[in-house]
Parts: sequence; C-alpha cells; structure tokens
Amino acid sequence: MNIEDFIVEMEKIMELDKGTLQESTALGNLLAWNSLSALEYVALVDTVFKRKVTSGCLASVVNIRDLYFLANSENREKN
Amino acid sequence: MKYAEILAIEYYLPDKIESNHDISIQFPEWNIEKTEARIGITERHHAALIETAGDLAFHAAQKLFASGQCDKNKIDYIILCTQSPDYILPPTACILQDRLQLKNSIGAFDFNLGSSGYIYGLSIAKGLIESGQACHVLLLTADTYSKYIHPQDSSTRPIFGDGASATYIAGSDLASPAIFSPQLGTDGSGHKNLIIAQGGLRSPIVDSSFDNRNRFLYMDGLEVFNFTLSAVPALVEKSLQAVGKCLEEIDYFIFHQPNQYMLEHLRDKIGIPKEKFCIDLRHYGNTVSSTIPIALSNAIYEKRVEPGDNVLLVGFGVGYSWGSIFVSIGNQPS
Repeated sequence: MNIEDFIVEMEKIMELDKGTLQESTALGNLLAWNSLSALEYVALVDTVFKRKVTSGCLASVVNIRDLYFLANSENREKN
Repeated sequence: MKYAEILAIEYYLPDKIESNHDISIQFPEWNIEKTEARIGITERHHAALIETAGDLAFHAAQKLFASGQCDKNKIDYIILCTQSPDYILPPTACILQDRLQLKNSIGAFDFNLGSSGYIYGLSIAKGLIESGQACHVLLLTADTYSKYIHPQDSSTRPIFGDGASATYIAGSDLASPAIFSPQLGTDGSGHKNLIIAQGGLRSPIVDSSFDNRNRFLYMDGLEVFNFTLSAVPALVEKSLQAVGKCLEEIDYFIFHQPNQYMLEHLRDKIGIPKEKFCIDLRHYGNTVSSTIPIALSNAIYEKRVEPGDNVLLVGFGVGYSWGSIFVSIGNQPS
C-alpha cells in the first residue's frame, strides 16, 4: 500500500472527508485521532502490512507520514 | 465413566444501567454514534455502591436454583472466578456456600482470573468430575470492574460492565466427552498492560484520592489488542489441531466479548463465517469472566446452539492469560 492509499484508509478510519489529511497533518490537531482510531490503525497495519505496532512506538508519532512509515517500517516485528 | 457436562447456565446483571448517553454527558467530545458502532455496546450494568461480586454471584446462583434445572442439595463443589472478591480473605466462595445454604460437605474456592476464567473454570470442573472428586459442580463467575474504573477514564468506562453467571456442571453417562480438549496459555510479561497497580501488598494504596490513578484499572488497549492478535488465532489453530477438526467442522464459536471491533477483526483474521460467530455484548459490555457464559446461555436460549453442536469457547485477557475449550450441550445419555 502506497502512502496515498494509506491516507485514504486513514480518512475512512477517522471518518474524515476525502482530501482532509495530508502527509504532514499533525495527529495532535485531529480530534478524530483517539484510542478507537488508533485501534483501527493497528488493525489496518495487521491486515495490510502484517506487522505489529506497539503503543510505545505509536506514542512517538507526530503526523500521518510517521504513521505510514511506522506501519511500513522493515524493522517492525513481523506477525 | 461419567463425563462432565454443562446442564444449565443462568446469569444476573445488577439493576443500575449506564447508557452511552449517560457517559457522553461527562465526555462532550465523545462521538456516541461512532463509538457505539465500533465497540458494539449501547449500555452496561453497574453494581450499586454496596453491591459486591459476591452479591451478583449469589443472585445468579439463586436464579439457577429457581429455574428448577439444578437441585442445590446435590452441589458438592463451588468454584468462583472473580477479581473483585468481597474480602481479601476469606474466599467469597466460602461465604456463598453459607448464603446459598449449600451443604457443608462441599469444596469451595475462589480463583483470580479475568476473561480466560470461564475456560479455566470449565477445565477445573471437568477435572474434578471426571477424576471422581466431585459429581455436581457450581461454577460461578462474577466481577464488578465498574468499581475499579476512574470516572474520567473515557477509554475503559464505555467498555466494561458488571455481571455474574452460574453454571451447573455434572457427570453424565455420555458416549463421549461433552467438555473437552482444554488448551491454556499464559504470558505474564504482559501483566502491566492490564492492571490495577495499587491495592495489593506489593503496592498498597497510600493516596485514596481520585488523583491517584494507580488505584484504578489501567489498560493499554493497543498492547492488549496486539496480544489478542498474536495469541487468539494461534490458540484457535491449536484447538482445532488437538481435536483433528477443521474450522468448517465447528458449529459455533463463542469468544470472550471485549468489544465488537476487536471481535470482528479476529473473526475475519481467523476466517470464521459470520453466522457461526457470536457477538453478544450490546446490552452488557465486557463483563470479564462472565461474557462467555452470558453469550453461551443466550445462544442456547435463542437456539443458535443446538443439542450436540460442537462449540469452541475462547477466553483471553488480563495476565496475559488465555484458553479454549470445546463444549457440547444437551447430549443424549448413552
């Protein structure tokens, strides 16, 4: 999954209009980024990237681009 | 040889109900519709201030006896799974022996497990009965997690509810086992991800104010989710291998009910057809050790589980602890 498709998926998860999110959008500015959307992000990563994301790694994420690279990182623990 | 069999299940929920609307008053930023759609819970029951898990278990057992499906004079073992006992000591099961006016010549003990507790309880009851140590076991589950949740915790408060169940398990003359192939697992390295850090002897409560979050339930939801994604599919695979069956040969699956989103993701990941997979927490929430017996009782009542069906029960949670067991209900004596 490329980053453009990933952003579309994240907009679905957060129930945002298409085009709302950019790579640089800061999660701290998004009301829709909460514990439930984080859970769905982890599920997306599990399904698509076959990887696990720990809560420690997620805590250091700043923007959408970080979320994508966290999901897509080669050094994440594989399922 | 007599095989252990579930003969009856009843459950009890306390009167007080907290709706999503009630919670949203305290959390105005909360999106009720979205949250409800994801967690699949519209309301949960809470024990009253003076109502304990022992009280809930008492009422569940009374319902069981009143149903006419279980003669309380026959009970020779009482097992209570709870993480909110009435006292540090004595065991709540001992108090329940007295309150339920059961005979003195019975075994009674509590055990401390959460969402895997019902699986352990069935496994223990099976062992007691099939080894000849007991004939009629009363397995109780009861918890009042609402008392452990900080009122400002918007992540756990919508999820958990209070409840209790009573299951009557007895030895029957059956051609084959009706409770079989328990598979258990433990990984204590995850214990800090679902914990009440203070209140035990390792870390007593020194500050009983609401500011002290360490005396309330803490759940790292993402880590618990990661644990279930690793443990549960592997557990189901191991369970099927142990009985030499494939997914399609199992009639019904009842997992612990943490929230709808997690259940649907697990179901899809494992590949269980929707019609064979139980999601039943809308009006109860996550009642911890009681989710499986509540769901099983409803499934039997609504005939989603028919006599002779092979049902796989799967529990997972705090500890980390997990387990599965097959049950078959309403079997004809051999």
